[in-house]
Amino acid sequence: MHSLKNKMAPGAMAVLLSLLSLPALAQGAVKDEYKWLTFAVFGAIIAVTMFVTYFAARRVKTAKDFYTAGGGVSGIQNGWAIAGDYLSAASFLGIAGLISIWGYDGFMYSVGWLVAYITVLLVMAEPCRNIGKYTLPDILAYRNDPRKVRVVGALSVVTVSTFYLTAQMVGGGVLVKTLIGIDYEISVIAVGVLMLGYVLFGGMVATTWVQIIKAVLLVTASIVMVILVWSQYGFFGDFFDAVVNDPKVQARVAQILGDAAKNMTPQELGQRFLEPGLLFKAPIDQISLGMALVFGTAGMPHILMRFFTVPTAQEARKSVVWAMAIIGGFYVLTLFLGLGAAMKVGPSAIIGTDAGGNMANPLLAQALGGGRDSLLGNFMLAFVSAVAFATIVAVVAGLVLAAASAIAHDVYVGVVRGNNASQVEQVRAAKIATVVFGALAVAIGIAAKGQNVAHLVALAFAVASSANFPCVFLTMFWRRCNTGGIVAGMIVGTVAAIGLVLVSPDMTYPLAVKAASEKAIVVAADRLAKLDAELAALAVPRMKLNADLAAAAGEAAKVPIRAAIEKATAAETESEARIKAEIAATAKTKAAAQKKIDDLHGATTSLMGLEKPLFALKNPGLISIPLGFLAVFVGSLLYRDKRAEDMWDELYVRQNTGILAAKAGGAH
Amino acid sequence: MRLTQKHQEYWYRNLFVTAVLLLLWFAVSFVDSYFARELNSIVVLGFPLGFYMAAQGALVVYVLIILFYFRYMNNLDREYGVHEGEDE
Repeated sequence: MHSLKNKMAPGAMAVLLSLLSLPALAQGAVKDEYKWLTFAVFGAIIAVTMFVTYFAARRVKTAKDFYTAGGGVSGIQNGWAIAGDYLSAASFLGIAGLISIWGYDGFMYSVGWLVAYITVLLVMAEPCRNIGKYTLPDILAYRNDPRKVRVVGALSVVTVSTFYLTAQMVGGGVLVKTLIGIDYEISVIAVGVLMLGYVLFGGMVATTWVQIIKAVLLVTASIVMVILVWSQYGFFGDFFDAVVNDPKVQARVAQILGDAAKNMTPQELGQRFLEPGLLFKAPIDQISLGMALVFGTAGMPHILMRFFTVPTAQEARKSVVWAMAIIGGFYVLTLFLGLGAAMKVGPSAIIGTDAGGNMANPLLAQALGGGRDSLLGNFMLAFVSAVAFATIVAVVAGLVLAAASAIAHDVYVGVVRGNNASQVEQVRAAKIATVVFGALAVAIGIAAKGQNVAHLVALAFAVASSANFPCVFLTMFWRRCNTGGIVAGMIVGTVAAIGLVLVSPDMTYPLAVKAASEKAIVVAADRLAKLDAELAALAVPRMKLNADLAAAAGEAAKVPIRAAIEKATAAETESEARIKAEIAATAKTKAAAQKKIDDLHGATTSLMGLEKPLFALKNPGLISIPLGFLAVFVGSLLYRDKRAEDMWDELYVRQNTGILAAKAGGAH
Repeated sequence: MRLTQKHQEYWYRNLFVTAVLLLLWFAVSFVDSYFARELNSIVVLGFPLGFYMAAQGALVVYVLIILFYFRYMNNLDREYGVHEGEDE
């Protein structure tokens, strides 16, 4: 985790990373005397979702029920569930945190993610719904050789899910630990067990409903908090003035800008918080990340799967409208939450609890409710925390379901059994795959404790955008696309994405770490010397003050002088304490830097044996996405597949109209 | 199953509206944030415009894009008789 802090501040994957960079706190954000309240709120929310799962379990009989809730989810319900999938812990906690710390640039994430959704929805959702049945490889298998594309498709789905899942598990474990102070391992196991409970017994029905419940709670909590923020800082114009004039915000901007802030008025500093450029400095990295996010979302198996749960193409479209309205509305609220936290809690206090800013929302909730010592404040904190926890469990459930379906439906039923499996066997296979994958997720989550798993999120999106997206997109929109292209695209896209990340700046490069740490030690030592000098300088006037005080003793006429001297002494004591605190903090920084050097054990090369990154971009999207497309083109042109071309017209009509979708869906 | 003239026409209209909306999407997402600093000199409702677009305006436009697409495509489905659903 330590290697993460120094690179994450301006880092491209900041939202995602930040979830993983919560520092080890001595205790949770909740005081011990209010722990019971936290557990009560967590318990209540878990009880509600379990109750829903109980009813869902009775509805899950066939494979179609398990994978797609029997296609019986309405457009509005699916809209809420998609919003639930979308509003992961990273966006709920991370974006408000980034806004509270970085101002304008923090928004780029909320908008960035929503941008991705538009492309998914406009271009991919409907045809996918019309062609697919349960899984992403189903779409590929429609007009290509089912066995081959199912195997490569399943491989890619499992790869993407595992990367994303690991990041979620580690992030979730750390989050729960930070919020309520229970052990990391127990947190990970709790997430795993709950998730298994939902998926195993309730399949997609329960997974969908858990997402819906969570999304409703999330939106409700946000609305309540925003109303409280408005009641304190005013609405729109007043609110904006409050931000610009807030001393905490101004201090934060001055801190970010450093020397550049010297000639700026406080007003200008506040204004600067609402302008771009505080966080992002390397636009090409942003573009590459943006591409991976936009196209990666369109290739994320757990997101595509949601569109198979609605009965008609019209309902699929309707769910998109609802999802967009809910997500859009949520982010409109995030503006007030983020800026509200910047004013109410203050950027430095937020960073103090968690360097990535993830605690902005929970801390704002606590402050709005009356602070750390009030019952209401702690209740609100517990509620926001429980919603964040439910969020992680629900997203993990979706991912496990996607991965398990790739194994059970595509590889086992589709390839091993050649599509000859009864409903009972199919459901059993799906449940076994779920248990195996869930156990794996917990094991990986615990094994990856304290690891820098940030690049795994980058990898998940890179693979989804470079392998899944070109294949799914071209099989639906390019007549000549065939089995050869899909196999080539899946393999090249996956290998290119993983390979480029392995040689990218995301990995740890001992020489760079060493240089940075050595520099940090020098800076810290320098600062320590200065602080020591300041402390020594304080001692001189201190002695004089004491002497004055002694001289002034006894005479009644000198009472005001004595009071003045005592006041000066108190001020001295205060600055002494402040300097001592800074000395302690600087010494800690120095020790941490030294530990980093020691941890390298003299290594000079990264995992891949490199001294410095071969590839300059943190996210490979810019290169690996075109490579994935190229592989599909070349593979298709070199391979002859008459069936794929013959099936084109049928696919074309079906994807555009959905005419055959419902009937074919029940054909097995 | 062969593609009929009608299907082709439906598809072209679908492609056209998608392209127009994606163009709008691009303008709001990328062109707008590129000019954020310039737009900030315009103040709407007490907010500088560039900031406001990134914070909320773009989101509102996205929702409108999707809403428009939804209504347009539903009408198109009905017009070309490819409406799947109630009559199933």
